[in-house]
This record gives sequence, structure tokens and C-alpha cells, in this order.
Amino acid sequence: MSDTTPDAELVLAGEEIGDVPRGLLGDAWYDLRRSVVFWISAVLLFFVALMVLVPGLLADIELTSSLTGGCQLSDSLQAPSAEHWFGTDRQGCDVYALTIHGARPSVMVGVLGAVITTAIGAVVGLVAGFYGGWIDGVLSRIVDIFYGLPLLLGGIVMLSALSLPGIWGVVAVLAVLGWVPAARLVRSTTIEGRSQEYTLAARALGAGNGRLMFRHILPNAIGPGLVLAVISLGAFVAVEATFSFLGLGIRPPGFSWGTMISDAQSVFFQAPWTLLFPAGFLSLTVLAFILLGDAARDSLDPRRQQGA
Amino acid sequence: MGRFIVRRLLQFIPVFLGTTFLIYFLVFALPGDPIAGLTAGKPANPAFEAYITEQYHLDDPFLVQYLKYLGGLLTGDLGQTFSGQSVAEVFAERFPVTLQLAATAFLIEVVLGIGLGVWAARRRGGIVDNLSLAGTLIVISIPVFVLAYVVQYIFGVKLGWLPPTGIAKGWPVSYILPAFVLAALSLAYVLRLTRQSLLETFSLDFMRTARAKGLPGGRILWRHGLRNSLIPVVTFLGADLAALMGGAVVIEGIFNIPGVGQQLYASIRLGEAVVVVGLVTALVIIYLIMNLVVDVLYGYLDPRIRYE
Repeated sequence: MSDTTPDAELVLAGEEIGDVPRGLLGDAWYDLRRSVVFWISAVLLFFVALMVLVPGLLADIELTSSLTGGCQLSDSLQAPSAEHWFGTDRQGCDVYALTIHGARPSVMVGVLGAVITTAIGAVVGLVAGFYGGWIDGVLSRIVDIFYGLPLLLGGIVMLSALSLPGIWGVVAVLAVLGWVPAARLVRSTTIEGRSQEYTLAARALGAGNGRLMFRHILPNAIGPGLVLAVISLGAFVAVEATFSFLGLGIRPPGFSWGTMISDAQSVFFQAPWTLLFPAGFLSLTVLAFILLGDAARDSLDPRRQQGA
Repeated sequence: MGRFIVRRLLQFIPVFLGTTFLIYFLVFALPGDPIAGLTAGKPANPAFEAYITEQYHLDDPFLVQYLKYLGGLLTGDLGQTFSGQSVAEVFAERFPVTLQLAATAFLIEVVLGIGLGVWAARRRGGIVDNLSLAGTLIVISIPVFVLAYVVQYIFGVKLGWLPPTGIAKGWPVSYILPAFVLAALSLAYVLRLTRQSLLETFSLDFMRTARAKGLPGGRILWRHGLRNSLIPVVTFLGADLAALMGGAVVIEGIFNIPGVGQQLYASIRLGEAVVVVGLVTALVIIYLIMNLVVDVLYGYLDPRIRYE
């Protein structure tokens, strides 16, 4: 032992009692691996990822369109069978193939929406919280204004006037109206972090504003920010479905879980499978993200670990 | 108290201006031709084009446009439907129904949410606690329109307990199913929030003191526990009015309740964007006013707020 440096000794001693410093994300991962909820969501998300990334492996895209001869009107509204696992819809398309291929647009909206709103919210919240004064005053009033326009109502107005193709209309709505919660969260963490001793120390050592913001203050928001992003991802998937259901999101010939549910509503009572399968997949996907967010919140929050 | 109310009223003015400006901006100043958007891509006929141009003052510079539109709003002019009826009239005719639906949903949310939340917190880890945690998780992940169809199918069609659509049977019978679906999501949040907040209060010192003094359990719970736990719940309930307004669009469409939401739903599907914009503006204004009322009430309920 005499030839090891003090640092190495510390690590060795740490390993023996199983208390190696792991850092925030390492710590969270250590906790997550022991969480049942996390593994349930991980399994669900694995299947979601398969559907989004390689839908062709699971179902033939040609079965989703009558242009390729995949849908036969003579097969209209057949109950689930060996040939059509989830039955067929009014056009005679295979509901299983539609459901698998409908995952990508729905989940894409969620992912893009979560990334964009978190980024915008982080910048607005960071600037408002860090500079304070009139900059914070102006930005906070802007946040109040956006808070006054509910996402669903604002989205309806925006999508009625805007004609963007495919998922981009809904993504635009989320980018314009969905960033407020992230901004509020980052602003409050920034205000807290601005007056911490280590921030003051870094400033005294000559760190510039940019370095202070991104190296010392923003990392405090990673935990809660990640949780918010994951949970809003799930919520945005549901938002896409709602807009598509209203006929404002994805339009034919494109399709997603939302448009499938919308198409199914008139035949729901005679052919409930046309609605239940896309709705079930949609709900499980949203559930998976909420569970992941819950599990991440529990393991990222140091205060909860003592109580649990 | 008087000063507090005046200050809140003054703060309301920029939010009102900002939010209406935002709606106007989202419709008329985003890149793209608003007239093409408002006719849903169909070739506009010259009369309609002239009407839109005149109604929304599209020949004027943008700020003048907005000011004229604002003037219209303040005098109750929300534009006209395609059949020539004024949107404000349609709104006034239908709003009572929406209000009744929203109020019923709000009642369900408050009574069941707080009641079950208290029950779950008192018997932590018991059957009600576990069932309600699982139940709320399911409700949070199922999109509201899916829940609407499922509830309508099971209780309205299969079991025939309650009318599946329309309001022919009057309040409350016809309103129970739609109000329950409208309330479901917020009910889940109210329940979880009440439970969590009450559990936190239970662990505070003054609760132990109350118990040590020998106060009866009911008094400890209601006077000491609940009063101090309800503040976050009341905040949520205030903000939740937005969700009820937005949700009404989908719910009224599905359950065929002749309120503002159903008109909005129909107008979206018909591509009558002018009507959509008018109705949404009216809903948002009502939402803003309700928020103002909640804010003032809140200062009344919790004196600490007034002296911020």
C-alpha cells in the first residue's frame, strides 16, 4: 500500500464500503437500477423505440395504404383474426400495421417538442434568473402572457391559420406555447444558484457570466429539468393525438395514432378494435414516459432518498 | 386588501393586452397567407377574401390591425359566422351550457379529489391509497378523448345507466358522464396533491403538538392539517380552469353537449377558422378573468400572499 497515492487509497477504501462518489447522474443510475418502476418503463420504451426506429421489422408498410394494394375495401371492419391481428379499419387496412407505423410521427412530436421547449425554457429562465432586474421583469411578464393562453386553445387557433405539413404544425405549436413550465423551473433554480457560495467564489476567481451560467448554475437544473422534459414528452405525445383527433394535426395521407383514433370514432360502436388498439398503444407510451419521469425524480432528488 | 386588489387589477391589463395580441399574432402575423390558412387551403372566393380583409383590417399596418381588432373585442365584436350570425351571439347562447358542464366537473374534482386524497393520506399504504395511486396513474396516461369513448361505450351504451349523448335529460343526469370525463385528469392531480401535501403537514411539529395536547382526531385533521395543506391544491384548482375550458372542446364534441366547445369542434371540422378564432378569444378572455378572480380570492384566503 505504501506505493499508492493518497487519492488511490481513498478510492480503494471507498470501494470496500461501497461508497464511491458517483456524481449526480451516476448516483441516479445507481438508484434507478434498483427501481421496479424504472424497469417497467424501460421495457415499454424498448418496444416504443423498436416501433419508431425500425417499424418495417414489425409490420409491412404496404399494408397501410390502398395505393399499394395493402387495403382491400372488401376487408372493411373485420374483427381481429390470425390474418389481421388487430382487425381492419373502414378502408380495410390492417390495424396492426397502421398502429406500428403510426408510432413514429406521434413519438417524433413528443421528442422534438420536449427538446425544443426545454431548450427555449432553459435560455429564458437562465437569462431572467441570472440577470434579474428589468430583464427579469420583462421576461416574467412575457411568461405571464404565454401562461394566459392555454396550450390546447392557443394550438387550435394557431393550427387553424397555419398550414404546415405533417408533424411540423404541432411541433411549431409546442415550440411557441409549450416552453413556459421549463422557463419557470430554470428561473427559480437559477435564482437559488446565483447566490450560492460556490457561485460567488467562482465569480471572485474571475469567472465570466457565461461560465457562471453554464458551468455553475445551469447544472443545478439538470435533475428537475430532465424530469420535466421526460414527463412533458409523454404529455406532448398525447397533445399530438388530441390535435390530430380534432383534425388539426397530421392530415391524410399521413397518419398517426391520433388520426387513427379520429377515423375510428364513427365506427367505434360496431368495431371497437379500430379505436382500442391505437388508443392502447398511445396510453402505454404516455404511461412509460410518466413512469420514467417518476422514477428519475425519485432517484435524482437527494432529499427523497433519506425518507424513502 | 384594497391595495392588493388594485395591484392585481393593474397587473391584469398588460396580461390581457399581451394575450389578445399573442392570439392575433399567431393567426395573422406568422409567415404564410392568413387567408389561405383560414380557408383551409381551398381557393378563396373574392367575397370571402374581401370579408376577411375587412373584418381583420388586413390592409392596415399590423399594429393598426391589432388595435382595431382590440377595439372590436372591447365592444363585443368577435366577427361573424358563415351564416351571418354574430360570433358573440353564438357564444352567449352556448356559454351557459359549457359553464354548467365545467362547474359540474369542478365540483366532482374538488369533492372526490380532496376527499379521496385525505382518505389516502390518513390510511397511507392502505387499500384506498394504493388503488387511488394506481387509478390516477392510469387516468393520467389515457388521453381524455379515449377515456370519453370508453366511458360512453361502457356506461352509456353497454350498461345503459346514463344517457351516452345529448342533454335531453337535463342536469344532472345528462351531465354526469361528460363532467366526470372532463374532471378525470384534474381529479387525479388534486388527489395526489392533497395526499402529498397532507402527508408533509402530518410530519410537522405543530401537528405533534396538537396530538400531544389531546385534541380529537377530527379537529386535528380538519383545522390543523387540511387548512395548511390546501394551499397548493387551491393554486392548482385556479390554474385548472384552463384545462377545463380546453377539455370542453373535445368532451362536448364527443358527448354532443351543445356548448361553446361543441361549436368550436364543429367549426374546426368545417374549416370555419374565423369562428374558431372568435370563440377561442372569448374563452381565453373568460379564462383570464376567472384567473383574476381566483387571484383576488386567494389573497383573501391566505393573508400571507397580500404582503408579498
